[in-house]
Amino acid sequence: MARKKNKTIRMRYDAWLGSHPAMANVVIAASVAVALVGLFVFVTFSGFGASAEFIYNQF
Amino acid sequence: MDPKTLHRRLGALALGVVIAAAVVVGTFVVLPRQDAHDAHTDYGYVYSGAKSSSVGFVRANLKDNSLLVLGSSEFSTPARLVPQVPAAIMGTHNYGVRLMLVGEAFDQCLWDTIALGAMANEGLPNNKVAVIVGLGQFTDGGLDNATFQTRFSRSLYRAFNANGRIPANLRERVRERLAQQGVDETTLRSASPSDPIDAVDATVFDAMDDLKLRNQLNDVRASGIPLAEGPVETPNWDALHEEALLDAERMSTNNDWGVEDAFYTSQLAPALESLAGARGGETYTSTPEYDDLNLFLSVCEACGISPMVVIQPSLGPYYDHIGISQQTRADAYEHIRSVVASHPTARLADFSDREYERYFMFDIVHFGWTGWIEAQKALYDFATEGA
Repeated sequence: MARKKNKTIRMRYDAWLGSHPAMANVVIAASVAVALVGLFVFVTFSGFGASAEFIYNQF
Repeated sequence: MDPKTLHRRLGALALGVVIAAAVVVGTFVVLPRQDAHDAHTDYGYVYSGAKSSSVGFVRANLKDNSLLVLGSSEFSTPARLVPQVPAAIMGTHNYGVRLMLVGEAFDQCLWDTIALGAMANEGLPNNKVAVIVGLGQFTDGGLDNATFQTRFSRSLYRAFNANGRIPANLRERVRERLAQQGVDETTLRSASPSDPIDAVDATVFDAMDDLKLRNQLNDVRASGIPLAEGPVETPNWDALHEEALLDAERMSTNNDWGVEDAFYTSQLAPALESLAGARGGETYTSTPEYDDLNLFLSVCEACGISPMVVIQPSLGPYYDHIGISQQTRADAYEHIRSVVASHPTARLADFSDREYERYFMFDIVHFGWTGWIEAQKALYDFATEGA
């Protein structure tokens, strides 16, 4: 059932891309740009790897 | 898909990559360089991991009369708790000595070694450095890898490796210790690239480290204090000590140990019962920290830097209570002293005999009201000696 539903979505997606070629290219370009910029922002500017706070009970 | 459509799709994909690259390049252009600063602002007393990891920012803000002081969480004590912290005393008066405090919680001797090697590449003002150590960093087992890695700075390690005055055997020892602390091989290799793959890693990591620090340094720039200028004053340490005692009496009223009221109420009192005798197995012997202190002093010698080691005491009554005997602590202090004594150029400011002095600490491990006054006097005397 799920496979049939996925197939329908895929067919609709392909049909939309075929009937909107310019829009499809814009979506592809924007998706790639957003994904790469998102990765860049996360790796470079997120708090991932931030310093540890001082904890008294370790002493 | 026909070839024409395929080409257009690939073109769109390439355009996305170009747009992302433009954003990255734009970020480089927009963010201030690491060494950007206001000449009339003093950033030496700002407590910050980003500042501590940025060789460019620290070196740009060192004056001829600056003293680099390496330490850790003691630099985080705010003036509202202890009005005698360096930012409020030496930071607000022109005593002819400016402190550049570098370090954050859990920065220990290995981190200090790397930071010193990185920042002393072109020497230091008067070729002096001070480092503050305390028993907390000499606990059995050493600093756990997960905590160390939150403080490891690849940027500092890269700059450490670029310091040609550090001999190969000391570099190798530092590399071994970093591997022991769980720093991965790719990161280590990228800090001293020896083949094209390492060089590519180094280029990418350098750019990311640079951007991250440039972004975080914006907060540091906003936290600086006005540079104390005007005629040079001579500090009246006795008067400052008396004032510190008055502040301490006002801020420590609800306990017999002389610690700050809010710390006692929120941190100490609730845990005292469960902590009684809980640390009886501590020996302060099974740790690489003494060797790391030795390594730090060796790197100082190699770089032509005269170091002063400041021993920050622990709160004696508290450590008695949790089961670490006075003798165990005395042995640990003696071990530290013996490491320092093995380096003829190293000086010592030893406050380990002040464990039971009321108001010397404001909590269990950090300088308090009179403690900070005496520590600053030691730093001032060291900085001005021979100047």
